Amino acid sequence: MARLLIVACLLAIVLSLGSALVHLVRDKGESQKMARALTVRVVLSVLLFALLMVAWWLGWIQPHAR
Amino acid sequence: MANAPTSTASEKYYVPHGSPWPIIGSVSLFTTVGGGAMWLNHVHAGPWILTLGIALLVFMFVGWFGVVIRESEGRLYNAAVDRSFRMGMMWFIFSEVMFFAGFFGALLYARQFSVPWLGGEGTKLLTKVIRGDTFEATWPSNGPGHIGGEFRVIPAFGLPAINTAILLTSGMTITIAHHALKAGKRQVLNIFLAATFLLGFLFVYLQAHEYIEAYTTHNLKLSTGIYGSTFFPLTAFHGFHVTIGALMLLVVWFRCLKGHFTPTHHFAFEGVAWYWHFVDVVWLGLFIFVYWL
Repeated sequence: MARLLIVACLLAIVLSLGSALVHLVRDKGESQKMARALTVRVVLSVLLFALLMVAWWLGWIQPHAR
Repeated sequence: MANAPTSTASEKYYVPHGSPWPIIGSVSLFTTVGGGAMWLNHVHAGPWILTLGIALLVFMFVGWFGVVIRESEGRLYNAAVDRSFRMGMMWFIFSEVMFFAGFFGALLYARQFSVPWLGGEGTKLLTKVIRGDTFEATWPSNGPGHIGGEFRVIPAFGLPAINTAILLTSGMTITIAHHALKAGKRQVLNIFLAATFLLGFLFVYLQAHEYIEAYTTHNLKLSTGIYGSTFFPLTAFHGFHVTIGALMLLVVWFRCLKGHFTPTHHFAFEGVAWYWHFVDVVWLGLFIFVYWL
């Protein structure tokens, strides 16, 4: 379950990054959409890092070396 | 190339005349690859030729990008040129995604298929019987031959976690700089952009420390079987990308200090910022799949 959540979060991050690339190509610097998509990317990434730490703390996942 | 009349710049697609940079680029690439090939074939001059090639490449990048920056600031580029830059960025990123997909794919294949097969999983039981060893498929592993001997992997809660926090912070600082540029807040832009490339160089410095630790205390090397030969290329190529990204951020920072870019005219910033987010996301993938899952 934790692994699924982590991979889903990573996919959402990739999607927001991809969305920012589309706006980079299409909007030509004139809109806020690219900056907003990248903000979503950063927020999701911080959440993913927090999720990793919480999942480890709850004993759901373990790193390869301890 | 400086002779193009600026009065017609917005109407015609700007094409530089008599630029020496493409041929310098070709010669430098040929010299670099030739030097590398000679080195691999134990030709004594190989490393020197490779160094010369890399020096020529750096000269070419500095010179060519300098020309492009001056042309851009001289408003020689119209909307069509801008579009071609953005399309170029998209295809460059496509090649980067394919590049990292190859390395992540190799890691996935080794972990999910080849190592379990060598351990006798599924229909490959006969392989294990014929080989007649006691290899049990686990990960991390250097394979049935124990190539490179006993090794320990780098713990996630050491430098890798610190480096993840550093890159995530740099992701935040570049985002703040991006919003500041769009809002015309130049001082905030300059401060947070500087913080971003400094964090990037700090990441590379700590990554170098991690490698020293791996080689000296963990016996984890490039030659440590399948683990070493997936771990080092993935992390090293990522580190190389962070280095390039931080250098590009540094150049963009100098341009910001010189007053380049406006809230609606800043493709170089956008391209570098997006690239930085990309290397950040690649690291997140690395951190998860190499150190955790």
